[in-house]
Amino acid sequence: MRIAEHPILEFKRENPHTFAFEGVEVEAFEGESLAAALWAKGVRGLRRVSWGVLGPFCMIGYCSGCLVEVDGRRTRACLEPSRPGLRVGRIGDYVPRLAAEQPGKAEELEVDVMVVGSGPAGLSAAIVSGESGLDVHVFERHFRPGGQLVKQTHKFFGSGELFGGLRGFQIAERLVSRAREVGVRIHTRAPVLGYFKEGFFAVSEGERLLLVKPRAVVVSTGAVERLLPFPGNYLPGVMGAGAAQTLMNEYGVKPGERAVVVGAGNVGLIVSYQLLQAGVRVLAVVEVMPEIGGWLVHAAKIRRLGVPILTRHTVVRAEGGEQLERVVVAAVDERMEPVPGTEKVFDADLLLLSVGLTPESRLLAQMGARMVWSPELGGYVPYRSEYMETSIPGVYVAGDASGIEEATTAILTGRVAGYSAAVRLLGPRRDLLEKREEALRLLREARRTPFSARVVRGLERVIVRVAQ
Amino acid sequence: MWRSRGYVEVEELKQMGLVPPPERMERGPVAVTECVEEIPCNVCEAACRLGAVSVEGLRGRPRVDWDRCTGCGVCVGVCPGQAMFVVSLAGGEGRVTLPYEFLPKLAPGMRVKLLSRRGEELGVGEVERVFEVNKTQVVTVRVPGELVMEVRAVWPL
Repeated sequence: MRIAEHPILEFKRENPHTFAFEGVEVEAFEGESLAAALWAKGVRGLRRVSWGVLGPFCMIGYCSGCLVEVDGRRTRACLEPSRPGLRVGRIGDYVPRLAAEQPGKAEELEVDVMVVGSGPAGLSAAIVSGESGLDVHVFERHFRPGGQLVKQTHKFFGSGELFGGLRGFQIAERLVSRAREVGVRIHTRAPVLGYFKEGFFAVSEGERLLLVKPRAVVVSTGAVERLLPFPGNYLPGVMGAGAAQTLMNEYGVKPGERAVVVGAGNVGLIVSYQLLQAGVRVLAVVEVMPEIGGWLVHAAKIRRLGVPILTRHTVVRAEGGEQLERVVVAAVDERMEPVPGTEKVFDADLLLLSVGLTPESRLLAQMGARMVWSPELGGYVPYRSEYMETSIPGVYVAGDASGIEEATTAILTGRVAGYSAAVRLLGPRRDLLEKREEALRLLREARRTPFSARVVRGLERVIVRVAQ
Repeated sequence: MWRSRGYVEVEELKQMGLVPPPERMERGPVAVTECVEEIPCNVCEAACRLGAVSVEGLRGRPRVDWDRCTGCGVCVGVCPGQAMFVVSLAGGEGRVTLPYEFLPKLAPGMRVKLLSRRGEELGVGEVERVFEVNKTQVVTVRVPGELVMEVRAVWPL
């Protein structure tokens, strides 16, 4: 179902058209993903596997819950923009074919700075290197730039210079337009496939293969939402909190009617409020810890609207046939084990998991950057200098790919990485060094909150101090 | 403790010195901040043209200077945490100004449910004044005088 009217957002819905899914006509609009249009149509299960039906989990191109076949090609429905007349179907028993198409000629592209990912970190890095006069190319696998800021409708904390008070999607608009203003070239639908030791990155852009040879690289590939193990967690309707944000805030598609949210960190609290704005009932937020993980103000926003937050509770199973129908939660004891007899059953068609994120740093690992497992930062992250340079000279990391934080720190680490790339290519210019110091100062300020203590502990183990 | 509850009690706000005395509320509208954690944010301070809100550094708790504050409600509209309110007991009538971001959009004269910090219904009130700050409606609603520190949300009837 599509959201007709929203208190914050306006949905353009231009160029209505249809595509076929398993022979059935599906209505869609320009700029909508196939996954969003299918969800709006009520199609929940996109894949049939031996044990049941799967639905989308992440909506940003990482899980395989929305794999479909489009005009004979296998693709993720969340990354595929709808076009009139597409023939879309379930994948069935997929057997990769030998290259049926003629291999196209690879084109070489030499750039000063290559940025991988167009979220707040990548765009910020691109902007500051672009402002320094460098030739900057951003590669984004989605069909629109902005990363996950695009689906954030709440106003951000911060000061004026860090976009404080603006809503996430407004920050994304500003970053994208500023990047274009300073001459940054943003390539969309252009996934970076990998690095080759001959010194280039392979990028698939439309019909062509690009061999990108950069003089400096910023990897700002973001993060992936975590799944929680419990029976029924694969059912369509169980998804990451971010996936619901993509549906309702980016495409104006209602993710469900009655929701249970797992995790009372900032993401869980904020998504609950956004669900209410989209007209979805939030039956409960469950949190396994004795206390709420996010800021009190975010919790207070939903508590005053009557949403219960059940601390010391967890989800024990999801039930349903072809899609989610019920969620069973239970209280937990001191060892976080569910206590028998405390189960509560919610009739829900949506179960959102906001139980943390994992850095998406595989490109750096593939390139051979020295990685380290950091529980505080959410997973495998690269060792880096305080200037965001990894163990590979000229290769920088920024944003959640360097450790899970939030959008403000992503913007700031992006700026640091962008200035570092500029310093490498243009020399230690005083203006660049000063601006980088200013970004580092703001970063230290942003990390002085009680919630950052864990991150700061993690950073102490992964930042390698270097003599400048 | 508020971190297990998800909201802060009036008594806790009083202990922190965040509740203006009744005499001040009787003189006219005044801002009340319920931002009790040290969030790295100073949007309220930057938005107040009277210099009535101060935040230590970027991340202290905001403090309202009750003498300078005129209760204009701009801070209510800009606060990203929706933790700013304006209360008034002027003329012996209770009024609360609070942020609202739902549908239908509210307009003067509309009657709305009054909700507490816990989401309990406290009765029905009438919307008196509405203005908008970046899509947030800043809504002034008439409430019984004894509820100015209790009503923290409204919902369409």
